[in-house]
Amino acid sequence: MTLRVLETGLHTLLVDFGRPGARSLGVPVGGAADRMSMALGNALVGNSPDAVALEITLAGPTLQAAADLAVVLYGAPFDLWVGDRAVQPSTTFTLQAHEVLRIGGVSAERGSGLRGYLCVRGGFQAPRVLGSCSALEPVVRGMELICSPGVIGSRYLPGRWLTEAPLDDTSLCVLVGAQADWFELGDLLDQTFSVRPQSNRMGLRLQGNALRLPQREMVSEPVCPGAVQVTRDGQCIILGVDGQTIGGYPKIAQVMSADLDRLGQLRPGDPVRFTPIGLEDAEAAYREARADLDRWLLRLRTAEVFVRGNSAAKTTQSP
Amino acid sequence: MMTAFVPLGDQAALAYFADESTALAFAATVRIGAPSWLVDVVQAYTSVAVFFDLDQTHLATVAEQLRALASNLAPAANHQGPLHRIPCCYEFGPDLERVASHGGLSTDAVIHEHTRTVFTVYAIGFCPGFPYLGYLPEPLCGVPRLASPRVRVEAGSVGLTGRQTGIYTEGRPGGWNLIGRTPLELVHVSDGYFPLRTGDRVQFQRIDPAEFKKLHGQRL
Repeated sequence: MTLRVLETGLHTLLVDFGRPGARSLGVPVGGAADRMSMALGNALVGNSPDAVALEITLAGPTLQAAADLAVVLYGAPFDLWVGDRAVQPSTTFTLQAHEVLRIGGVSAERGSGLRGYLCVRGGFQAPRVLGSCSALEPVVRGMELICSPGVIGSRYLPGRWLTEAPLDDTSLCVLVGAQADWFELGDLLDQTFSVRPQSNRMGLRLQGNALRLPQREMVSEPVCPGAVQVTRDGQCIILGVDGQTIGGYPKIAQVMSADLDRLGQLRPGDPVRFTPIGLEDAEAAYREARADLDRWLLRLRTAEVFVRGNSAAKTTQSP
Repeated sequence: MMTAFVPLGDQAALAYFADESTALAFAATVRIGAPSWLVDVVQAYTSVAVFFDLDQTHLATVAEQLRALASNLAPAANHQGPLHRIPCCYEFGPDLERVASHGGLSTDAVIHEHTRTVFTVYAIGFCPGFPYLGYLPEPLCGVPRLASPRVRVEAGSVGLTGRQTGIYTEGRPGGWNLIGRTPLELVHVSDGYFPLRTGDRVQFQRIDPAEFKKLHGQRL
């Protein structure tokens, strides 16, 4: 059983949770840029959180199923059509044999996000490399994505994009970076940056007033997603999931783990501010986010929780 | 000895050491110990990052264990990696002449210096499997990067800059001075083939273009 790629979209990639143990080989962690959205999408169709899904960025692909498929698109709210019929995102449905699923653009509203995850019951099948099925290259036209047939009723989970106040989205909590003492921290904390169009899975390039930095060289050292690096011209790059494993730019700050998924949803033009946080608070935020996700995963496993249009569902707190 | 220890966010600790061999010994010791929370150990020169599973533990506990390990390291010599002999055709080095004139050497002297030195892999990064080899003998040191990087450097190209030499494992843009090329495949990501690790040693062996052709595409 396959899902055929008729059009690729902007950057469409098979992902799981990546290769956190391959950094010592110079291989980026990779995997889903927004793991929580992928986990929830997978749970909606009855998969484990890390089942292989199709990550869709800004403009989606057009796909055709060879047999019935149980699917959902979760994450940023993309426009979706099956043939000429519009379909709601964040809602499971059966894509019937030979039907064409067209995934358009993501809502233009600020704070809507950038990436969605097309999850198929049973997950996509892909070769395992260094412990992960995340693809090394995006899908190409004509490719046949391997998956299992299935049918599913309509289940709906409100996306967190729909309820979270967009203004809250702009602030990322940061820990001190390894070279924080090279800088005036106020240069980072007292301004609002903007995400530049050159951003991708390797890094988010920010536009802002240049940070003052000493004319000092450093030897390359290990880095990781979330590192806020400052280039020679005083501009900031936040490393993404495909960011390199070692680097020679000084790091003024490090985005806390609980905020990493949000990096994957920032798009060109989005405002970004940084808020300092202590280590213990960052650890607590991670555990809280983790526990929250686990509660939702459990609910999705045990009940057909939401039916679209049910007003009770709309008032339920979203993850 | 460990000279500093800082958090690398909330899921890793970054330890700095007085020299590369102590960092190497520390990295090897952590890997051998393989605590259940360990995700990865990444060394680059004198620094080592230890990534841990935040679902199992947290930085304070990890830091305590790592400090104990660092204070009780076996001599660095015990962690020396295998020696790889890597054939290199210096006829395929477009910047060889320039490197020679920078150091006031003949091209043969550059090749002699480059092949007589046993290098150590001090870091892997930039692209998958790219080995940063150190350190160059004095006569080869100090050649700056190209003013403008090449749009594409072919896989196998051997470059140098500053105190370091390295091998491009994949075709991509690059700014190092290219002095030769190995015919061997040093990385195959989709096969999980990564023969070089930090701490391994590398010595280049001069080959001619005919030998290059014969060995092209073989694995190390």
